Parts: sequence; structure tokens; C-alpha cells
Amino acid sequence: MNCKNDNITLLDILDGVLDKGVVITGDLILSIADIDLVYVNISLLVTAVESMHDRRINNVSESGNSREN
Amino acid sequence: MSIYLYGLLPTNQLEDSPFSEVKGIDLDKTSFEIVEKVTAVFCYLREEEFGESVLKEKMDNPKWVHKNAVHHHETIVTYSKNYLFLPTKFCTVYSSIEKLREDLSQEQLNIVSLFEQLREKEEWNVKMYYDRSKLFKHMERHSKVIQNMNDDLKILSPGKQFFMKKKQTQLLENEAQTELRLISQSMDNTLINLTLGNKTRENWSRNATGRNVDMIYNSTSLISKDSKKKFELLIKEFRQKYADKGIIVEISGPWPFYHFASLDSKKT
Amino acid sequence: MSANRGIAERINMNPEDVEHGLAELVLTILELLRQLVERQAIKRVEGGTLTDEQIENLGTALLNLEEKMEELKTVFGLEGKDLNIDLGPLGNLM
Repeated sequence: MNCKNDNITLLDILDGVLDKGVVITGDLILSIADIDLVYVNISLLVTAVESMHDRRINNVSESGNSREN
Repeated sequence: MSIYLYGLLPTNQLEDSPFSEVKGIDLDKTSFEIVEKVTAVFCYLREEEFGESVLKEKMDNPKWVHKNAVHHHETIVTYSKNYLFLPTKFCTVYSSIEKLREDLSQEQLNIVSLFEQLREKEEWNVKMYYDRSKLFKHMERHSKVIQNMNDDLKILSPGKQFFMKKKQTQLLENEAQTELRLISQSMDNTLINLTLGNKTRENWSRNATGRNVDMIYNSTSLISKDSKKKFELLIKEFRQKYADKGIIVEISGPWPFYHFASLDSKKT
Repeated sequence: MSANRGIAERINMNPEDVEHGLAELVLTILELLRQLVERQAIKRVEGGTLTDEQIENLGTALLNLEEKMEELKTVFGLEGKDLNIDLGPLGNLM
């Protein structure tokens, strides 16, 4: 099978063999790690704006760990 | 004992190509079971690793799914090399071989009919992308409107130039969208006329593909083996026709019959 | 839960990386605002209610803003495609 791109080949494989095909939502495929990062980014965003004000960068690690909302 | 089904092949093909076992998804190697004109390729499963509840958990683990879906695919590809192979969906598990035999007996006519329909056919995938800067350059070169705007731009003051440039970009964007739509449609029509079946799928984002060009077309087609040369020629012509507009055409195949053979087995 | 530990590991404790992450986020917001302002301005100009002088001033201001943004990106070693936030199911911010 000739295919230039490994990523694409994998997507084609998953789309072919999985019962409901492959669903690509928000540009992510089957990756827990990336989903975590999304939340991390959003909480970082809130902190970043605040800490730019306060100049207290250590807030980042705190908010990152307690990201549930 | 439950079994993992990989797919089905016509029994008479075993005469020319004797079955060879390969690594299975669990500890056992693959095996085959003949039910009249249909032969199933499967492997035995351990209850503790592939029981329903255990399997459900495993399916929630992307890494597990990834690794084993690829195994499923590669096993199917291996058998597709020597036989007309009807693939199953990932994790098609039968509670026992007797159940499988029952199903195959019952569905004998349908399956044989499917074998007939797919004889001497292949499944191929066509994807198209476009190189943005190449397309825009091409449009700028060929657009009178843009060229007139460029002439106007020269005599404008910087502030006004800014707005006119933005307007140009907007015009180009609109024209690009129209152009791409037409090109995709053209490929679709070409394939519909040439192939025995054509299924258009959704375009994938850059994040998904990991490439720096956008996908504008994605479809899977069923073609007869003897029209393959014609297929390749048409793709080549299409490629050449739209190359300077930055259109990239990529084909892949032959693929197992994932899209044109559906085995709706009644799972137990 | 192992997921939380994963997140903690992923939030880099390295000061330079933290700064870089913050710069990326701040510039993303600035870029978003810049684009919004630009779009508004274009609408006003095409609306035909502004004088030549107003158009010229607006255009020059936006041009400078655009250039400044490019400078900031260069300073922080970021490219246009880096300035984005993935909102998961909502897609990307920009």
C-alpha cells in the first residue's frame, strides 16, 4: 500500500476497521494527553491574565493542578 | 470459547493457496473454519483478556485500540494478498465457533453473492490537498481585477493601501473557495463516471493529518482490476491539469474492502 | 488520579518555559483583538461613512499594529500558527 503520510494511513486504517469509523472532533484523534492539555491551556489563560497583573508567576502551577471546574 | 473473527474468504481459493497461520490478537495463532463455500479466518480468545467487560475497558484505552486496530488491519492485508477477503470490523467477537458456523450457514447465499460482486475488484482511496500560496500566486497572476487593483495601489497613500490590500486578500479568498469547490466536484464526477462505486468522506484538518496543506477531497472507490490503468491515467491527467494551481492528488490502495463489503454479523 | 499527575508533569516548572507559554497566550489574545479591530475597521471603511483623512489615519494605525505584532512574534520566536488555543470540541479559538 503506497501512502506518503503515516498519520493519514493510520486514520484511514482506523476509519476502515472501527465500527463507527473514526471521528475527528476538534482536530484531535484518540489522545488523552492532548485533551488534558486543552484544559491546562484554558486555566493557564485565566491565570496568565491575572498574573500579568500581579506579576506572580507561581500561580500557574497551583491553578494547573486544581483545574476541575 | 470465544473467537475473534478477521474475515471471510471463498473456500475454493484454498485449493490454490493453502491457509497459513499468522500471529493472532491474543496468544493463539490464526486458524480457519470451512462452512460450505465460505471459509472464516479467526483466532481463539482467552476469556480473561477478551471477555465482554474486559474488552469494553480495553476499547476505552486509545493506545490499546491503536495497536490492535493496526494488527487487525495488517492481518487482513496479509490474507487479502492471497484471497478475495471480506474484512470484519475491529473486535468482531463470537461467543463460540458453533455460533459462527450457524451464522455462516444462514448467510451463505448473501456472502457468496458478495464474493461474486467483489471478484476482480479493488478498493482505492483518493485524497486531494491544495498548496495555498501556490494557488493564490496563480490566481493573482491570472486575475485582471487583482492586476487593476495593483495598479491602483501604487498611487494610494499607505493607509488606504492597507485597506485595498485587505480587500484583495478577501477577493482572492472567495475566488479560491469557489475554485476549490469546482475542482473537488470535478474529481467527484470523474470518479463517479469511472468507478463501480464511490463514497465521499469528510476532509481532515491539518492537526489530524499533520501536514501543512489543507485537504479538500477524500473518497474511496471500488474499481475493477482491468480499469485500474484507466484510473491511474485519469488521476495523472487530473494532477497535471491542476498542478499549477497547487492541487495535490494522492491515491492509496488497494485497500481491504472496508467500505464496499459490509459483514453485518449478528454479534452475540 | 494518574491523569492529574500527567497534567502536573505537563505544566512545565521550568521558568523559561512558563514565560514562553505565557507569552504565547498573551500574544494569542492580542492577535485575536487585533483581528477583531481590523475587521471592524474594514466594515466602517466599506460603509462609506468615513472621510479620506479618517480612512488614511485608520489604515496607518492598523498597518503599524500589524507590524508591531510581527515584531512581537519574532521577539518571542512564535509563528502565526502558534497563536491559537484549542478549545477541544469547540474547535480552535482562531
